[in-house]
Amino acid sequence: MTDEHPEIERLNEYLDQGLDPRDHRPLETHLSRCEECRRTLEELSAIVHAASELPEVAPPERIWESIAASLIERKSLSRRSSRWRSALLPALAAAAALFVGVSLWLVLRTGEAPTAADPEALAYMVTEELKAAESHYDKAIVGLEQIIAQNDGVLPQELASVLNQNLDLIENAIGESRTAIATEPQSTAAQESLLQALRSKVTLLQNTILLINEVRKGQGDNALDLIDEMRKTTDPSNPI
Amino acid sequence: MGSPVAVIEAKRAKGAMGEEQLSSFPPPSLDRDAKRREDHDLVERTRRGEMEAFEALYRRHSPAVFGLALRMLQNRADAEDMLQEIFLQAHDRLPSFEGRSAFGTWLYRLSVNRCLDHLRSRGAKEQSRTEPLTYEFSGRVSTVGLRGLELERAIGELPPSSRAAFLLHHVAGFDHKEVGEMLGIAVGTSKSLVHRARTRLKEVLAR
Repeated sequence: MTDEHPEIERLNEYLDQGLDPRDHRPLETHLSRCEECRRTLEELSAIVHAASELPEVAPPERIWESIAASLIERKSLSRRSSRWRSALLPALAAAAALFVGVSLWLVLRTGEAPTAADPEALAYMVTEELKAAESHYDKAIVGLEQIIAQNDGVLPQELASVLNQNLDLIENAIGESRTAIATEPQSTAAQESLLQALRSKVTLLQNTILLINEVRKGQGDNALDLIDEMRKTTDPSNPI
Repeated sequence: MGSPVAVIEAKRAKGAMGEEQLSSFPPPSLDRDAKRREDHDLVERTRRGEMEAFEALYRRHSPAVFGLALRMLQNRADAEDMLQEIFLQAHDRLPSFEGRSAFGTWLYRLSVNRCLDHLRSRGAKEQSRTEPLTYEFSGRVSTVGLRGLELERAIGELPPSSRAAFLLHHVAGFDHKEVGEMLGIAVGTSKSLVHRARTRLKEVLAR
């Protein structure tokens, strides 16, 4: 072992601490004498280290928008089909009674569900989705605010202050968006702005609750470390 | 000052909320168990039809999944399509998610196998369709450095199965048992694939 180079597989096992303990000493003895094998081990180790440092990669926002559109489309289609089915059935019955022998396809054509290409149908869908989403967010916000209110005073004053400043900004954005929607209900920019602001508020409140939990769990030094780390991560140049 | 809608549009053109950027307010170091509990809560809410819960799952996990897809497929357009397919499929399959593993592990399993399927089908059509990775990193580039960029390119030269095992073990941080379960291989095979990947990477980087 001391004179022959070990197979690279053994160096890999050694690096993973998976080598049989009996083989450690002979390998280490060889490594102490063989610069080439030492360098190989260092290179393998550098690869492992570099791999662990490879970052996550934020996808473009349009990917989520596309996913959300697909899911909403599916949801809307199933909801619309049931809505139109329920509206269509009595009409079909009446048509059958009054116009025996009339081809049903005419009735079906007039009762066809709107497609996404139909601007009026699209506008209707968007408005309905907006109402549903807004309602979801409002409910979530009420629940989250209750939890936070019950834990008033848990967060350090400095953090509570940052939280309140952010909440004020978001509230302004929500107010402006609602005013814009009241003026132009079909404005996509206003609708998106409202949903984004509501989403930001939910996220902020959720994070606040997580933080409250962490602060509650933290004791002594742990809590101080936690707050110190938060100070480091509270960078005004970064949005939520 | 224009109409309310004009004000909104002007602000959106500048950024999420215009010049008034929110201060960073992430919770500090949430531990793994807390994240897992939150994921399970989000999964339950998604099952109940809450779109925003699924969005939260997407926001949490898409950077890791996108990173995996980019490194597996070595092609940005394919990785973007793959990310979308993965999350749509994950949404469809959520009812069958039993929660025995963490959601992230379940999602990684789905993702890596979709990528391998894609590479297999792509391999049948064309032997090689790689392009330089030109995406921007979401993290701090300074911690990556040249070595990381060299490694990104070298990873593209690994065979798909070794690439998958290497990425799951060394980049995503799963142990060999988890990697084995995800890829449907034995623990020893996972170790062997990772070792082969490291050896091959060393050769490629030495060129």
